[in-house]
Amino acid sequence: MLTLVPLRDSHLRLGRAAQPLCAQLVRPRHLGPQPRPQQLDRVRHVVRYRRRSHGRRHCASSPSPLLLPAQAPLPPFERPLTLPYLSPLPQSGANAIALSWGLMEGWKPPPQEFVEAATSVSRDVVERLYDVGWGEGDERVDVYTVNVPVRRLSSSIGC
Amino acid sequence: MASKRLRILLTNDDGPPSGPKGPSPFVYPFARALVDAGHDVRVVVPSSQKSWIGKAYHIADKCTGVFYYPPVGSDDGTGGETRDLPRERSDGEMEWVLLNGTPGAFDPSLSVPIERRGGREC
Repeated sequence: MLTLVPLRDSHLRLGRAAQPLCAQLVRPRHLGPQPRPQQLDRVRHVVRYRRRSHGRRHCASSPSPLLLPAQAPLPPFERPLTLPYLSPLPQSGANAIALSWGLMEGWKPPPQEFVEAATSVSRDVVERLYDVGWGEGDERVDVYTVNVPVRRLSSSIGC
Repeated sequence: MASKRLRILLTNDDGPPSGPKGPSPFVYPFARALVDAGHDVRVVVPSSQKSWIGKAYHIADKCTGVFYYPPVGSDDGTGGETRDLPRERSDGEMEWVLLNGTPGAFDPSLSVPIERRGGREC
């Protein structure tokens, strides 16, 4: 399971309280303007292979938006897809976000309101991370790993 | 509507849209939200659920795929048209690619962590 790697206080971070159903990407006012890409920390991966089949926290899904430069060529889809189209992939250098939703209550299927809130927050995460950028040189980040916890604020379950 | 139109390749390991009670209830509404925000979204997912084996490589298997067009206005993305070759899209219509492999076989973002660790998964 890919889990959230929080950015430091000087960066964007996922807070809890701004939305009624789930966390929202927020930047505290006292931190000033948005950081430049060079100021970003390298994001580390935390990979956990243990799966909790009946626990309260689940990694519900892993939609992974991959942001491509506008001029990136697309495969010429003029014939049925076969492996030759798909082989030259490693080290694309494309900016990537590994995004997952953490259902904090119950299991699939979640209420529709959860899905709507998670899609809204996830869309904001993608757009904000695009604005922040992926850094350059030694500060280059290969992939942002973000988990969006989804729960009701009235619940006693903590994030 | 977003201020910048991003070109986004969206993938996951849950497979094509399944409706809320199936194995892949989330990728379609997320893709739909990105499209509705004005972004250029391409979706490439396994043709069936590949959860928790997303980084597996099936070396001997031939990876093929089809194009899938979820119905415009659908709530869950099911019941769309599947074609071997792409076709023109109507307004608001998404074109998905369903591949009979794992995301590790076609998602470059998954291959990077493996290569950076000397060929070993962490």
